[in-house]
Amino acid sequence: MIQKKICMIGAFAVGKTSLVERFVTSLFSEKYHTTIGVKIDKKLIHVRDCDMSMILWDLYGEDEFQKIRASYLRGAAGYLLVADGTRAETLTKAVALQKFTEETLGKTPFALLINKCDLVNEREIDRNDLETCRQNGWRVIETSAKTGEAIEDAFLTLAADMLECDANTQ
Amino acid sequence: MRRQHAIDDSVLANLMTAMDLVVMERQRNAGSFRILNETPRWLQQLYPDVGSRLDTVQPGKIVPFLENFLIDAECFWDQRTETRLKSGAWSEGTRSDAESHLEATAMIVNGRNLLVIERLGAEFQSQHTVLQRAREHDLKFTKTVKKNERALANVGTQLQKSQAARDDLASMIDHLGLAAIITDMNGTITFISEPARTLLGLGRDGIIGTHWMNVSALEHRAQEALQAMIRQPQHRRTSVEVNVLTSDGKRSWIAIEIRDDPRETQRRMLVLRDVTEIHALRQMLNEKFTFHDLIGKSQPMQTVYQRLKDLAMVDTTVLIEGETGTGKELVAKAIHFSSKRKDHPFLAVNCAGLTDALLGSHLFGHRRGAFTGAIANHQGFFEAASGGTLLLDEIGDMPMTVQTSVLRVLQEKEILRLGDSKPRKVDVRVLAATHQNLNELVASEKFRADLLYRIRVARVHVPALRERREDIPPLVSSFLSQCCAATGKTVENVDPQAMRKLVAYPWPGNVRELRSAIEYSVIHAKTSGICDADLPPEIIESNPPDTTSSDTPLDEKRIVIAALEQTGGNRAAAARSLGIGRATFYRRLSALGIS
Repeated sequence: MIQKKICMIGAFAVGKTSLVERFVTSLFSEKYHTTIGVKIDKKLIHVRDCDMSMILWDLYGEDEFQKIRASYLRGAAGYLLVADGTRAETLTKAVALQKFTEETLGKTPFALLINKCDLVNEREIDRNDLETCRQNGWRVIETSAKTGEAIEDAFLTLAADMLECDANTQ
Repeated sequence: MRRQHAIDDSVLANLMTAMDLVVMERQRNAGSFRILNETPRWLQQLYPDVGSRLDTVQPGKIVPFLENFLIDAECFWDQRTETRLKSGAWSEGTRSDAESHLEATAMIVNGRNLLVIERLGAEFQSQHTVLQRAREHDLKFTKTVKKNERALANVGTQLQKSQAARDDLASMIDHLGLAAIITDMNGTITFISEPARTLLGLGRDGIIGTHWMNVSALEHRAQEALQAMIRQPQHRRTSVEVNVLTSDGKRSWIAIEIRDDPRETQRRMLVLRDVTEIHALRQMLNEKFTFHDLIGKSQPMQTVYQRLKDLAMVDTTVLIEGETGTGKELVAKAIHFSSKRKDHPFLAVNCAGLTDALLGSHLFGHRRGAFTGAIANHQGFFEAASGGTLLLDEIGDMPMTVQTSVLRVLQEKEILRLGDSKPRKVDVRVLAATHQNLNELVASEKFRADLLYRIRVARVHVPALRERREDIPPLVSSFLSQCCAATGKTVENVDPQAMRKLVAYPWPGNVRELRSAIEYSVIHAKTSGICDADLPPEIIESNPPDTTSSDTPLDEKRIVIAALEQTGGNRAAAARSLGIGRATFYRRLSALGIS
């Protein structure tokens, strides 16, 4: 079985832990629960005729209290950048973290998740900004940990990208 | 001594286990570690691959987080630059158990490479709680800030729209030349249009935020008038005309209309109009061309106006002389209403055609039972006009007995009611009017000389209309307006030919006859202008103006004879055609020697 380390990266309170919990356990809690350090979880998936064990490294949200350690990213085969659709500044943070991650890991498969897409009336992130990200070759997926929208798709797509990356490397 | 204080290895191992610590020593085989104390149950529950009795483990293969950390730890052990290296916290949990929070530390103790795994307890929870609160606070604060920013942006947008609308309105007001000021509930100016600034001679700065009372151009009297008007309910307010003195020394008259703001009745909107020109014209007209209800700009009338102004200043008896229809009663009224008695009654009594008893009763009143029919005490004109003015019209026709009583009133300032024995004090200014020559009446003993001297303290001669023909056009214009208002017809002017006839006509009935002629013409007018054909027949048939002839009695005689010829000798009809009364006509016949 293939084992892949995947990092969840983003500003605090964007819903990284909720996305992992929804993906792994199909559960969701409205209550915000901050993460200190790293939460490790595991999910077995089947993608492109392969069984894959996804080791999910849910890293703490970066802010002035906690900065992401480069060592946590080591060995990651892919990562999910998470932004909160109702807080425009989290997209800015995601863009900065993507740069930092790429400097640490090199070119690595990733996807940008715009979470909380169910809160339509509170949306702050401009669709034009997302279009700019897409034009830069980013994979952008709008998700909702609350409703489960596009979460399975996000993880499986990243898994497929990682396999494709492996295939290209070989 | 050293041996006495040494702690047994088993004690140390138990102590480490009790402190939720697992201590491992790095082995020569890469990745292998020997557990120095007893493997705690929580570690076995989290990582079942760690056997309870195993001494040697490969944590990097069992714990994914440590696989990552051990790479850094190997460097640390090899370099030996520091005494310890912490991994940072990580959390692991099973589906059924609570989440566990762990931290690894790489150490070098006595040259031995150690890896310590600690299960974090209360301190971690405390740290978590603090961070959780900080972030929740941050989220809440950010949300509030954004909400405020959105509200601010909305207000800003609304303000921009309001300002744009206000600017548009202000420029429209300026473009229309509307002078307007808006004040708030405290009377502070919140808006002033450009024309209003110009009108009041104000600069561009420093007016907004000023109380309207502090506008320098408004003098004290103007402020008082405006304040009095503001106190009135809106439906009773009228335009206030104030005299302003601008900073550049210019005086002007401004009509100010005060309205309440329909949305906030304490706010006022002041609309200003420059009425300086109107005021000046009005004053000029008042002073030169009219005097109370008298109209005329001719020199004879100017002389009359000046005389009337002089007489208004004194309280003497005045004799007003003039032909019938010249407006003697208007002259009397003008004297009264420009005198200090103007707030008291003005009464006029015609002395002609009444018996001496009846006229005496009218003038002096009577006591109940004074004569048959005197069923109650009756106040006469002298008493009724108390404090004011009494006009004795046609005084030349006053019976001799009444003349005696009037003389007594003028001398004693008291009257005696008929049938009464007690005289009553009266304060009345007496004006007398007549179309007759009172000197002749005195000579023929029809009028008391002493009364004549008494009433002729001051005299005013009202000129005949033919003596002031230039006043005919303004008189026509005035009568035209009055007749149109009365009849509801719209007749705006008189055509030049008709006007020439009107000016040329001798007007034996004077202004009264002119008024009748205009009424006649308005009734007969077919268009908005009076033409030749609309005039009364006697004017149409009158001879064209003879510029060489003068207004002499000879002309009048010719006109009267012509009228008699036209009516076949019918004196009443002739009098009517001339627009004068029959009695006047008879007097003119007598005066002109026409039998």
